[in-house]
Amino acid sequence: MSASELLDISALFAEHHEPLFRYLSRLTGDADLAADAVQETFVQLLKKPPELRHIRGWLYKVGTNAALMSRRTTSRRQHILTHAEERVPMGDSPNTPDLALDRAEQRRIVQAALQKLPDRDRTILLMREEGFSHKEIAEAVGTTTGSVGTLISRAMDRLARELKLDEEIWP
Amino acid sequence: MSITMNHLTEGEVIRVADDQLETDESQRVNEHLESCAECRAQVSRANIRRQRLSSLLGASDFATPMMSVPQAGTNVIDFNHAREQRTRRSAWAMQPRMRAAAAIILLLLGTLAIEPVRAAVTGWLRSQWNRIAPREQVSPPQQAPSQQAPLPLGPRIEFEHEGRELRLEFISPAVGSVLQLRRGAGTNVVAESSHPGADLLVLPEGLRITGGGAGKGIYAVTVPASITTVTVSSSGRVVARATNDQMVAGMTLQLR
Repeated sequence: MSASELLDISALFAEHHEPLFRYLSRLTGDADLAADAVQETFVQLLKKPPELRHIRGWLYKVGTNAALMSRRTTSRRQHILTHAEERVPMGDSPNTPDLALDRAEQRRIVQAALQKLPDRDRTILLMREEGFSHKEIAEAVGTTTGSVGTLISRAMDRLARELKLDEEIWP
Repeated sequence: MSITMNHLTEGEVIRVADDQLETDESQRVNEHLESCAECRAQVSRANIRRQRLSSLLGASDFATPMMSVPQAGTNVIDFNHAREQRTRRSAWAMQPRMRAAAAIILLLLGTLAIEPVRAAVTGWLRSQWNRIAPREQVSPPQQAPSQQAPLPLGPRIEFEHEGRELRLEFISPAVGSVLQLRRGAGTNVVAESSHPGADLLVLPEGLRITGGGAGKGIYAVTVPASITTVTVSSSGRVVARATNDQMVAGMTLQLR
């Protein structure tokens, strides 16, 4: 057995858990759910590891499925959108109250826009943010590489309207 | 045919912005971009949108909570497991029944060599594909890009190269996203060359040096202060990389 094919999970966890959490919390708008999904993903990794060279794409694919499945089954989505202002997310750092309020408000606006997108489109945009290639994104969401650009373009059109990305309000 | 008849599709615009063009479309798309201001504006707008979305996401992220490594009886992941499973599947595939099935499939595929059969099959596949695949609209750009105020310029770097083409990628600190050097993308990049006879063009696909042969020259690129890392590639090979703290005035990066 090749030693290079045996890896301690601690090293992989240290390398991947933070960006995976960031991606999943953006995907779901829920830090608690994202943290649970990260844990579930690494449990799956111990039980049924993929090929080593596909590890990153596999983590995001399994994490996405775990997070979206969990959200559907617990019907938390509506709760989060309705009560976003009241929640104190476990992931937030202890900023000053004003700063925390600004951040929470901005998150609410961004998440409201993101959550209007279909799961697949949101997944595509956020995987793009994490630097995945169109080919990797296509494999993760089950579409063709050539259609990823079109899907990104249309999703960005919607987000641009919601978030005023084309307006002259930016520094 | 005029240029306006060949505007890039919305998918192509995104593939340019993301540096994801397929090999077989790269030349056509880049040639079109060099002569079409409207499509360059679309690419520019795609880049600006992406940067702004990145900025919004980065500014509203949750801080990562403390998480412990999951325990499931072992801490060691055996990646050989996946390989062994693949090998077993491969062996199963070579059972007599599977071999017979494979032979039938090959026979059917062989009939595709007959022109009428191939035409019928490809026609049917194309019609099915047109039904399910997202359509890329060939449409003129809807609006002009926003005019960006120049970003504050940061430290200046210089590097040498011997190839005729360079590609520079700048890594944004906000989300770790890669911004390819582009003209008019809000990334105000200034490039100049000390190489005699060489023209240095900032093109949508990167920095291109024309003329001047393969002689060694020194090229200076001034990048925004927000850039943390710059990577220089020549003929698909990374030839230099510098992080922001290395980018001091007058520094010359030697190529490997």
